[in-house]
Amino acid sequence: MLGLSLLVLSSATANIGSDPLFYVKKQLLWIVLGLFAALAVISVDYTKLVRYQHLIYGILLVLLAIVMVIGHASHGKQQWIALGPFLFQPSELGKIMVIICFAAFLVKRQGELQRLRDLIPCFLYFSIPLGLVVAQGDLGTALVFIAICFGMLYLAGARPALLLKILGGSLALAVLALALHFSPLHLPLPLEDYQIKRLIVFVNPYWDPQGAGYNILQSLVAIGSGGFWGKGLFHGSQVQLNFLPEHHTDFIFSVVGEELGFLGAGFVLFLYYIIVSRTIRATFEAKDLFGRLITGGILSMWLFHILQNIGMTIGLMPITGIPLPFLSYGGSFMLTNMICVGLILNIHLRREKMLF
Amino acid sequence: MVDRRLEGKYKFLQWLTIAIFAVLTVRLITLQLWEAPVYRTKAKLNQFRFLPIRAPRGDIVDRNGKVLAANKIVNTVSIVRQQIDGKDLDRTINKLAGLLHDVYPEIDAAYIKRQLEEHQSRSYEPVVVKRDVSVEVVSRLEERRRDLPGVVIGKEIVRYYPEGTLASHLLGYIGEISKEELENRQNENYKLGDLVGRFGLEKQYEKYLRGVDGFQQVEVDVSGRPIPHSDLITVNPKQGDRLVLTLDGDLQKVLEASMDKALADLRKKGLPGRAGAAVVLDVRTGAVLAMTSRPNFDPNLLVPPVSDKAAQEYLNPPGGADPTMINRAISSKYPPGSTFKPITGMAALESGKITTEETIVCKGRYWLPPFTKCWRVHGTVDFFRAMAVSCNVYFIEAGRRAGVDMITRVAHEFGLDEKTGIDLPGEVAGSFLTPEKKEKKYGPVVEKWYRQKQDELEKEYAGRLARAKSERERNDILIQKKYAERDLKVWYRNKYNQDAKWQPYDTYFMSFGQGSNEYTPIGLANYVATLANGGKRMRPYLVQRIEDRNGKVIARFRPEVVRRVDISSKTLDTVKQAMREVAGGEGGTAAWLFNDLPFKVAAKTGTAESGRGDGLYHGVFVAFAPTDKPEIAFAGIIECGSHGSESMGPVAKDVFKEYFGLNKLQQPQEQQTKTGAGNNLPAVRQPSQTERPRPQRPPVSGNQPEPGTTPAQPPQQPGNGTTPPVDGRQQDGQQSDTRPPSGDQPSGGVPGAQP
Repeated sequence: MLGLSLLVLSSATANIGSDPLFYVKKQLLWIVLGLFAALAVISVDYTKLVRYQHLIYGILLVLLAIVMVIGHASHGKQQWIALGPFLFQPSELGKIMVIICFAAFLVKRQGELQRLRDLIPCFLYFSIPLGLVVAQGDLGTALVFIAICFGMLYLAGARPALLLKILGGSLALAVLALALHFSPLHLPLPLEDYQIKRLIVFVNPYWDPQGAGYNILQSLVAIGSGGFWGKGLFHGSQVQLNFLPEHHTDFIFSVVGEELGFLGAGFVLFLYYIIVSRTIRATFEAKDLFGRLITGGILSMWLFHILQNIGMTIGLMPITGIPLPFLSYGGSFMLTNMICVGLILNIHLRREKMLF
Repeated sequence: MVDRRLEGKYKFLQWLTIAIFAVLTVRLITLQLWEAPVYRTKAKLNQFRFLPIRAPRGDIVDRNGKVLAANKIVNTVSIVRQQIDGKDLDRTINKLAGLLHDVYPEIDAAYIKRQLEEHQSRSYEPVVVKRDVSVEVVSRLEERRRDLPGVVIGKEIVRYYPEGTLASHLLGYIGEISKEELENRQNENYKLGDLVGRFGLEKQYEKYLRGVDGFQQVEVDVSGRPIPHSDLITVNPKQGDRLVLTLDGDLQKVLEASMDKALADLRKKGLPGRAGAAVVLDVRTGAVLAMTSRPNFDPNLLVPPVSDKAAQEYLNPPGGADPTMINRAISSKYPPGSTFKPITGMAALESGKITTEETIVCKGRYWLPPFTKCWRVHGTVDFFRAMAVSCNVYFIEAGRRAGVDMITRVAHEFGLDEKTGIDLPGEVAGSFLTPEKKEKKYGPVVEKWYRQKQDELEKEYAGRLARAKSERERNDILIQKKYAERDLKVWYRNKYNQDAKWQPYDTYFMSFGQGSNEYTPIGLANYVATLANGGKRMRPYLVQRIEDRNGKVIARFRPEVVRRVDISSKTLDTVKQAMREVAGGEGGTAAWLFNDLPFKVAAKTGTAESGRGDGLYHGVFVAFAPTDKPEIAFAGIIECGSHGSESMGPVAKDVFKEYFGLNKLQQPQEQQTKTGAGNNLPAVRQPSQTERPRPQRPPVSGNQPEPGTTPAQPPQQPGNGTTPPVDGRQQDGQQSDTRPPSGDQPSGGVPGAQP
């Protein structure tokens, strides 16, 4: 998967900048960094992390808060901080931190999550970092946080029916709010107009083919025109002529679809299925609830990322701007995912105490 | 090992995952396998763009090769919407407007926005803001290029009329194709934004002039910019075909200058002096040598985008103004006035009802009702004299004897009630009234009036009967009603007879060109040309040949005889001779004007009721020359120009002088260069050379009024022509049945007493 990422990136970024391999090199660097990070993570017993729950939660909040103050803005979001030569995105690493501390938080409430009343503290605990992410204008990551939250609650033993009700209720509320926003009442929403437009335009991209619907249309054209065999690396006109925006990050799957065709895209889906399916296995083979919740959180995160990102490139999901794990270009995200891999391996390796 | 208690959740998650991946896979399959061809096409459309290369329109040149319509390369400022972010658009527009406004005052932000709105269908195509931008402005814009994202300065070929307003109504103008036209002309390969001929020759010969657009297939990036070195195929445009006109540009210039002068002179006298038209034909071929219409326009100003000022001035003039966008020479009808007299004369001579020897005494009024006044007392006049002095009495008598059928037959022979068939769009046919047409037109009006009166009568007596107190009173009323009905019927019959039936005075009015006679200047010119060439009615034409871009002649238009008039050559010669008297005979109404020319001119003046108010007469003038071997014919009219001899006559004179080389003789050099150009004019002009040595005519003398200063009163004419008032002056029905049905009630209000 990582090799594939480098390969596709080399084509997707060939037309950006003077050094056609600039992005590939950076990505490779991050992968290597990520591998070391994963190894480092594996070597520490994850059970010890419970102790640092409050510390991690604190660091998470500070990081998210700092980025609001000194962060770099990009695409209307303020989510980067400069770390030497690198731009660093704390909300990515925040995903891991939130998973770890929420896991620790839930472990303490094991078996006490049956009623709605019991869930409220969990939501409160979660809503602070979530609020900060929303405040950064990063809707995609916010949704990922929500997915993580519900996935972990489910694994922690909350009643599925109750969770479904809450989820369905909020979705209905969101739709209602959108409807009111566009009605003559103009209900004010904490979202920018461009975000709302992107959220709803996937239903019919032709509402605004030059504006909000443009990305979807170009992505559909890219993937559709790839056909079974694809146009070959470096030969996708949609990619190489820049018709497809963000093609090395959010729309990397469209590049795969156009240049490697159904063969490549199907293969990528297959690989993801293996990863997800193995993660599920690891989740249920974890020796304790804490480990299970961590892997479960990661599982929720990945599954949501995959569904959301690929779904958006093929017109099934709204555009929220979240990258595809392991494939998209992006250092923080790559690092995050590698650490996740490390955590999962860590938990899986320690499923039976005898091993170490 | 999966914990037993968690097996449910484990299975659920596995199935959820499978479901999610199944959905994604299915969607991927439909996209990439089923719908791939559709998206492949879309990707191609994205990637390749056909950039049209507009074909230059064909040139239009006069008979000597003088260019009247051509193309020039200009700098064009456009906006490509796609290259501007939404939020930058307003700023860019304002900035651009600011940079252009002081040089081109018609451009402001609102104007640019309107252009963008009107052309917003394809955001990657440039929308023209201003064509033909000066080099200074180009460099001014280039300096601020950074502030003007999406503003493109390019070179473009546009239509150009080097002579400005010259022959504007003939050349026409071009405009952007409208959406409706685009739908109507689907199979002609037009596309949005194309320019098409809208008027005149540009419209008439559009399919020849437009050429074939070329294109360039290029690979473009997302912002529509061609990728360097990517033009895959280039098909060069083919320029449209070239029209070679029969028009003589020099003659046209003289005609227009003289026309402008005539109008200016009228304005000095306090007359409107704005509208008019004139046509010069080669009588031997029907070729149009010159033609003009006033007010005229500069077609350069109508090349899109049209400034608001030009649009308002030319295309949407305020109400009451004389419209510009009508070629009055072919699309407006005017009463011919006395220029119709040769027709009446021919009718009378041809029917044998008068001879040239017979004389008639003009005492200032015709001796039959409605005793139409002549414009002066002419005494004893014969045919020639009557024509020369334009005696109404004589021609009313001639018309009476010939009869309306004969007059209209002759008019029809000369095609006055038909289109001439000139190769210009928008020609209308002239018209005259005949007994049948009169009844058809006014019969229903009288019938309607009668029904209305009957209804009123019924109502009145119904009321009276209802109020009647006794049977006796009722009987009295019924008897009264019977009488009243009888009276009304008589009234109606009289009225019908007078208003809808042909009356002798209808013939009289027609005889001197009033009544419902209306002809176009081109119709009059063609009638005079037909008379001049001995009875061959030609089809007037403007284009003598069409050449393709390599100079190969692809169409040639030859003189075409539409009809040989069925009139004896003796009659024709007599009338020509009489018209010669007008311009050369003693007391001829135009003799004062043409006396000093070294060649003989035949003419007829006209002063026609304009119907626009008291004292406003159209000046009409027709002429041909030389009398013996006619070459050119002239017809012209100035709206509200009063006497034709004074307003239009000098224009004809200037044209003849130019045609026969009198102007050129003073500038021998110019003539030499013209000769060198290989045209056939010197040969054409030979007659004038031979006539030159002749002694000039002695100045007119005797009882002749002073030329030009004659306060000749306009011919007294019945006010409403053949349209008698229908409202019925005869309010008293009792009285009317005792009177003769006609004559006593002349519609024109001429007193009933015979002088």
